Amino acid sequence: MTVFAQMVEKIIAQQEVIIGPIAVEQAQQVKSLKIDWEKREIEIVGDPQRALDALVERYKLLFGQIAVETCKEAVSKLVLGLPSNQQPKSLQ
Amino acid sequence: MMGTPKNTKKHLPILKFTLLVSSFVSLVLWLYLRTSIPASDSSIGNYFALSLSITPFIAGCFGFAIAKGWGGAKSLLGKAILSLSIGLVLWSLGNFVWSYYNLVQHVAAPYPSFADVGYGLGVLFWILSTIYLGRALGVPMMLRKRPALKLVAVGFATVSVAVSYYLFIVIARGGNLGLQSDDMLKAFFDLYYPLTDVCALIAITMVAIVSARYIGGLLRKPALAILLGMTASYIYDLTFSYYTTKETYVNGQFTDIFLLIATVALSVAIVMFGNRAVNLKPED
Repeated sequence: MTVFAQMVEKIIAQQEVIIGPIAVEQAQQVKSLKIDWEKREIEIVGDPQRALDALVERYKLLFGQIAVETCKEAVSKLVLGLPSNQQPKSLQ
Repeated sequence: MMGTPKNTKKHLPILKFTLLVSSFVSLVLWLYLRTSIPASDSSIGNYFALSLSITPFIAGCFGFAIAKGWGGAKSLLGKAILSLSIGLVLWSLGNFVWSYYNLVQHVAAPYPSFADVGYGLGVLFWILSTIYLGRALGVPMMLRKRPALKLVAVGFATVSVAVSYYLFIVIARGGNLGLQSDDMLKAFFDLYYPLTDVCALIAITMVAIVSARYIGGLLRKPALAILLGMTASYIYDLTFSYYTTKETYVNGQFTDIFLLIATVALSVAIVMFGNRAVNLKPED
């Protein structure tokens, strides 16, 4: 699994703890993500940074800025391992 | 059954309609009592008290199905809705017992009675719901990220305890904690009620101070409805303690409007969570 797919997985898992199955349903509505949550398989179609931004935006619609902060915390270690030009804007 | 999203969608309009009608009836009865009936006439007041049970009872029952849509006991928001629902049902059952004494036995409800078990446990679950809501809204995370907030939170918690002690014990009960009573159960409830109120105020202020600035999106309104309901419940308990200590409380008193606001706001929060869950479901 790529580092971006790992970030997607961590964010969904974190949100699932907070809002339950709606977290997975919301992620499945992001067009650039193909998710089989039962198998924990995640495929990113296209630009991974945009996919992550779109995912964070989904959760932001639910809980506002607090959701963004939660997503940031969930992937903070993975984001730090990326060069700054590859970090998704919403997670910086 | 009601737990599936499709059935929640089907039942939501019924829930909304019933809540609207029952809340409206309670409000009309309260207004009637405040404007037309002498304070000593308690029969309408007793029906008003009974009417207060309907809205939270129905909302609480539907809340179990709505909580399931948010993950039930497996997610923080699901637990918040579940606790809120259990609290609403227990509180209503307590109020049904209160009304049973008033309307069937034609006596004032004794203190303590089974009504207090419902009220006491109900409020406890509401507090639990506020705590789960706070966790869902990232209160622990914000406290970790911003250490200064910890100081503010501890400060407000201390102020909450001091304010509650002053209002509930010094003002409402004339400085009498009630622990000298020979009746152990009465002594327990005399201590239990102000303690739960302190916990409620601490929970409300923690959530409001630490995360209210950051709450947004579709879940902002139901979260604020819970905070409003809890605040109204705190004010009600305070004024209720004051009037019962002075032995001037009657059903339908001015202070009961806070109880109506509390039960309606908490019930509306359940409806809003149901609405959001249904609207967020992807179309088949």
